[in-house]
Amino acid sequence: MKDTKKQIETYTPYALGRLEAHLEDMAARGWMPEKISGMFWTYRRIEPKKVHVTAIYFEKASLYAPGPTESQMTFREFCEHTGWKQAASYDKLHILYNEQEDPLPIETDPVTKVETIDRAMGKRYLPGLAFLVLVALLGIAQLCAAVWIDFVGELVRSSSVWSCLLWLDILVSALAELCVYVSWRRRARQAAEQGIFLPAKEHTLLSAANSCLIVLILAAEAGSLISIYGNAAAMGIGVFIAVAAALPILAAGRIREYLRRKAAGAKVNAAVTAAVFAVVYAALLAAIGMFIMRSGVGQTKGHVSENYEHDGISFTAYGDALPLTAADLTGREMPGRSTWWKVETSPLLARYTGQDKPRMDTTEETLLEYTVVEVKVPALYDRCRRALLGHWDETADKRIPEEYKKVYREQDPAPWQAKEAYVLYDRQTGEELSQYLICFADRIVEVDMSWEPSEEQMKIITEKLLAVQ
Amino acid sequence: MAREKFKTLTEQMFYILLCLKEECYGMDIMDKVSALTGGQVTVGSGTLYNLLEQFAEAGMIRETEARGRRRSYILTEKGYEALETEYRRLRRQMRDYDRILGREQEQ
Repeated sequence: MKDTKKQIETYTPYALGRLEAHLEDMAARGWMPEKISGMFWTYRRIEPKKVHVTAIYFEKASLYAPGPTESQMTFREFCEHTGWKQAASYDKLHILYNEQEDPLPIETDPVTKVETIDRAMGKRYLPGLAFLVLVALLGIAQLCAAVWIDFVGELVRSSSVWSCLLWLDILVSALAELCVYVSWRRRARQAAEQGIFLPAKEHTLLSAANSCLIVLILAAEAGSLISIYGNAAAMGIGVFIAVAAALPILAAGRIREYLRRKAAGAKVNAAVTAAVFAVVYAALLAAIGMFIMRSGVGQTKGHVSENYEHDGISFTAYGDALPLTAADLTGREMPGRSTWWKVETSPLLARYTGQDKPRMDTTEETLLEYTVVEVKVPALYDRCRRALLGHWDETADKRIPEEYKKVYREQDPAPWQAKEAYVLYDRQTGEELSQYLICFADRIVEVDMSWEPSEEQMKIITEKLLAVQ
Repeated sequence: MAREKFKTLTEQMFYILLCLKEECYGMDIMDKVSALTGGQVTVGSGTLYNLLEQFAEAGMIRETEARGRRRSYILTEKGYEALETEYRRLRRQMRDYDRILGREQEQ
């Protein structure tokens, strides 16, 4: 029979009532906390007994001090005077128990109790929440900037959509926690004036629901990684992310405990721990970068490729199956082609890209490239249309003189059987190029070809590209 | 609205300061307050420790002796003033009570 056991404990730092009741229940079942940390607690076996447990904050305790400080020892003596013995402590949180039937509580003055909790929250909890808000805002800002620069390209990546949801969830929950805390503090101070301690309520159901939501978002994110990079690469990325998140924290924790054992001063310990965290984090980032560069993780899966040489230069020819080829349009055999196909999909958009090019070692020059953007959320259609209109059109590019610009001109959409159609016009040569933007009900198609299509070919393009899924 | 620090005293603040009219070991205050009030007011160890620190920081008490971790304290002039202010506040409350309810009871 094991004499110790580990358990994950979660609690709201300023609402410790549920934790105290749980620890009293554990003691009644024969378990007393021996070593505690943020989440992972170690219990030792004891004779099952009814004890009173209290969880309190002692402001002068430090995570980095080599042992209990003088003031901590004095505090313990004060507590022992009324029968309270310390079971375990972590940073400023202390767990004490009392075997008396009706012991004098450690905190008897509501005003002092609320102040003590507030000071402890000001050291770790509130800065932690503020940090989360800042990180989430930075994450959202970075995504917004990416969407601003490449609207379709960003929204078609499901990982961007899930990341945005994740940052929003973190932002909203951190802000909600801040509001709940500030509201409790205000009410608790008022109640304390009347000599009453107002315990904070724990929103356990809400927290559990939020945790489930985060797990779902992470699962969706993992799913999108798998769909893009394949199982093995996605697993590699996942393991790297998990290691990157855990290793600096673990390394910093180890070095902090080592320095505590070696009786290093609290300030030295804190500085070295922070330095170790930063170095390990930087080293991991560098390792991840090198891994991605060397292993080719990050490149999309599924292309059939062949390397060949022409005039002493290496080229890659692809052999992906395409929904529409130049041969489909011209009706003639075209050997020596490189065909490339890519599908990107998110809950908002899907983008299908096809390229049918001649190999460099052939004399053929027929070229066909197309992109089909499927808009799954109708509200995004117009913004996608404007983004794609600006893709090849140089109207807004101030670096190019007006007379040299290539701009879209509206053309008759009837041959395309579309709502709208545009053709790219070169102001310098005064010619229409064979580059088109065609708008259908829920799809916008860009076609770039090396010849001007006939009406029959336009019909085939529409038919084939509308069928793409 | 939260009170301005020590402008008014809670019952426990009041009795801790009162006990320190004479030099006293910090830990002994718990027993002294209980004895002084016949068990009506009790001060928990955490509350006492925190208040002693805060009173010392505010200059309302001062440390007189430190034997290892056993420290003695005594009230300062500022502490007396705080007690006096609280006393006057309580007296005012009592006078108000008498004025409003005491006379009614007499009638």
